[in-house]
Amino acid sequence: MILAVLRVMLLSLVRDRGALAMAFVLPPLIYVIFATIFAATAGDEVRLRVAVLDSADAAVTRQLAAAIRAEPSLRQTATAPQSRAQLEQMVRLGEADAGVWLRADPSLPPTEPPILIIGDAARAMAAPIVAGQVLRLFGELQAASGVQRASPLVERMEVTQAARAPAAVIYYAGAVAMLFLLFSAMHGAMSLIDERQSGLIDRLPAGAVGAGVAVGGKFLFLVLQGVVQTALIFLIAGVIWGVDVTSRLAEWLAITIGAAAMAAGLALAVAALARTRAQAQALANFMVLVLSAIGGSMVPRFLMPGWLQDASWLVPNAWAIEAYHGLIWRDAPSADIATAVGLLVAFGVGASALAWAVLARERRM
Amino acid sequence: MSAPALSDPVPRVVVQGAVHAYGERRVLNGVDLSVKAGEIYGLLGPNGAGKTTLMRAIAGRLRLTSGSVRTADDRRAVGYVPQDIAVYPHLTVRENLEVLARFAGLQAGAIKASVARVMADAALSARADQICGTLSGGFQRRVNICASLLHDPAVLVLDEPTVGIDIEARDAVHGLLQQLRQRGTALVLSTHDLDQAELICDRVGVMVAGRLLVEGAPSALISATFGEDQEVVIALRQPASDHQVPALMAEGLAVTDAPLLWIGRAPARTINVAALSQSLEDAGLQLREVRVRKPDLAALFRAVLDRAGAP
Repeated sequence: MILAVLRVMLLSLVRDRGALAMAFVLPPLIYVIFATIFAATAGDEVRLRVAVLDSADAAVTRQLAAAIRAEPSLRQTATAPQSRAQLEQMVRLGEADAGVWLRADPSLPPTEPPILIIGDAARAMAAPIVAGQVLRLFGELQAASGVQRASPLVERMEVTQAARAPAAVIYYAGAVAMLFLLFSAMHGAMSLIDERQSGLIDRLPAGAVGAGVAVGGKFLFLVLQGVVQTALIFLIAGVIWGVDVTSRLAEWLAITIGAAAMAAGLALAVAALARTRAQAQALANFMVLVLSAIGGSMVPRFLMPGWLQDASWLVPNAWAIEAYHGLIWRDAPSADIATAVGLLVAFGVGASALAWAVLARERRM
Repeated sequence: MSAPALSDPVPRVVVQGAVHAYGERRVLNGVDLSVKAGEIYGLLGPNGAGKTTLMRAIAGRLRLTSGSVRTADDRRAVGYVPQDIAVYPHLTVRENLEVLARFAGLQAGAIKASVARVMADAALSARADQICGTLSGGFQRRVNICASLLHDPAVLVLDEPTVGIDIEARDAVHGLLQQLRQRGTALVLSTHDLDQAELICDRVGVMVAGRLLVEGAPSALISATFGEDQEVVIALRQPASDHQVPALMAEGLAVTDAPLLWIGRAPARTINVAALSQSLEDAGLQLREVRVRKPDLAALFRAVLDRAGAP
C-alpha cells in the first residue's frame, strides 16, 4: 500500500508541469544565480567603487593615485572629488564605497598618517578592503622605486550619520520588507486564478470594465496590506533598535506605497499570465527568490560583482531598498527619493495594466 | 411536466446563426434558439457538444465568431450561474450576496432588500450568517443560484445547476427554478440529468458537435420519435457471449454502454414478454429482468445520438 501511495505521488508529479519545474528546474537555476551572487561577494570579483583625492600632489602620491585607478579590483567613481568635503559627501551619499584621500607626501617625515581612508558604517567591509589594497599598492611602489614609507601610513575614518541604529539593521528593515512584500502579494494575487477557475470573475460585468474592477480591487488591497506589513517591520525596528522614520514620515510612506504597488502589480501580472495555480506558484517562487537576491534583499548590492550591481538597477527591489537606506541612513535628498518612488509606482501601475489587459482580452466582448 | 406559463409571447432570448471557433475548431456550428418569458429551456448533449459555450454567449461572457445573441433588455438582464460554486468560501451567505450584488451593479440602497428577497426565495435566511464553505453541497448550489438573481434578471442561464447534489437538494433547486418560471423569468439550463430535464423543462434542445439537432417539448419530441413504440429493457446476469449476441439482435435489441443492459423498441401490441424471455433463455442467456416501458427523454437522447453517429 505504501508503494501505491508512492506511485500516486510520482504520477502526480510527472503530470504536473508546475510541480516538476519547482522540483527539478528551479533549484538548479536558482543555485546558479545564487552561486554567482554569493560566491562573488566573498571572492575577487568584488569591485568596490573608490573616489581618490590627491591633495598632496607629490610624485609619490601621483604614482599611487595612478596605481589605484589602474587596480582591476577597484572601480573609479565617475566624478573625481575636488575637496575632502566632496569626498566625504560622495561616500555619505553612496556614490563611492570608500574614499581615498592622499593628504600628504608619504616620503616626508610624518606628522599624521598621509593617507586617509573614508568609509561608511553601512558598508563596513568596504573601507578595510580598500585600505588593504592601498597598502599593497604602496608596497609594490616602494619595492619598485625605493620610496621611504611613513609610519603609520594609513588612517581610517567613517563619515558620521544622523541615524542612531546600526547600519545593517536599517538596511535589512528595507531588504526584508521587500522580500515579504513580494511573498504576500504573490500569495494574495493567487485568488485571481481561483476566481477565474470557479467562474466567480464571470459575475463581474463582462469585458474591460469587469477586468478593471477585479484587478483594481485586488491592487488596492495588496497595496494596503503591504503598507501595514512594512509598517510593522519598521515599527519593530524602531522599538528594538531605534530606527527612526518619523522625521521624514511622508517620504517613508511614499516609498512604502510605491514598493507595495510594485509588488502588487507584479503579483497580479504573474497571476493573470499563469493558467493554473501550479504555474503561478512556480513562477512566483522563482521571481521572488531571484528578484530578492539580485535586488539586495539577501546581501547588500555593493558586495556584488560590478556587472551585477549595474544589472540590479533593473530590478525594482533595488530601487526600494536603496530608497529606504538613502532616506534613513544617508539622509538622501528628496529628489532622489521621489525618483525611486516614481519608478516603483510606474512599475506597479504598468504591471497592473498588463494584468488588466490580459484579463480583459480573456473576457473580451 | 407542468404546462408552460407563456404569459409573454415575445422571446427574451434569441440566438441566430451562432458560430464560435477556438482556432480551427468550431464548437458552435450555426445554432438558432429562442426562449420566451416563463419558459424553462433545457440544453442537452454529450460533453463537448458546445452547451457551455452557447450559454456563455447568451450570458454575454463570450463573443461569438459570427451570428448574434439578442436578450430582452441589456446584458444586465441576464443572470449566469456557472457550473462550479462561484462564491467566496470564507464569506457568509449574506456577505457573499452583498458583495455579489455590488458586482451585479446594484446601488448600495437596494442591496439589503435584494439580498433578503433572494435568501427568502431560496429558503436560505436561516443560513444567512453561516460561512459558505461550511454549507452542504445543496445549500452551496442554492447560494450559487441566488448570487445570479440579485439584480432580478429577465433571463437566467444555468450551467448544470444540480450537478453533484442529493435528491432532496435537487428538489429544492427545482422548486426555486419553478418559482422563477412562474414569475416570468426565461431560464436556459444545461444538464446531463435527463429525468430532471423531462420533469422541469418546457422545451429541450439536443446539441451534438455544436449543432442543435432536435428541439421541442419533451413529450412531443418523444411521441414524434417513437410514436406508439414501447421500450424493451433486458438486464442480464452475465455479459452475452459472442454466440449469444445474434439471439439478442434478432429480437431487435442493442447493447447500451452498460454491457449487461440491452434495449430495443417495438409497437406495444407486438411485444410478448413471456415469448421474448423464453427465446433468450433458450439461447443460454441468464435474465435478471425484462421490462417494458414508455420511452423517455433518455431514449430520445440515445436515438438522437445514434442518428447523428455520435460516440
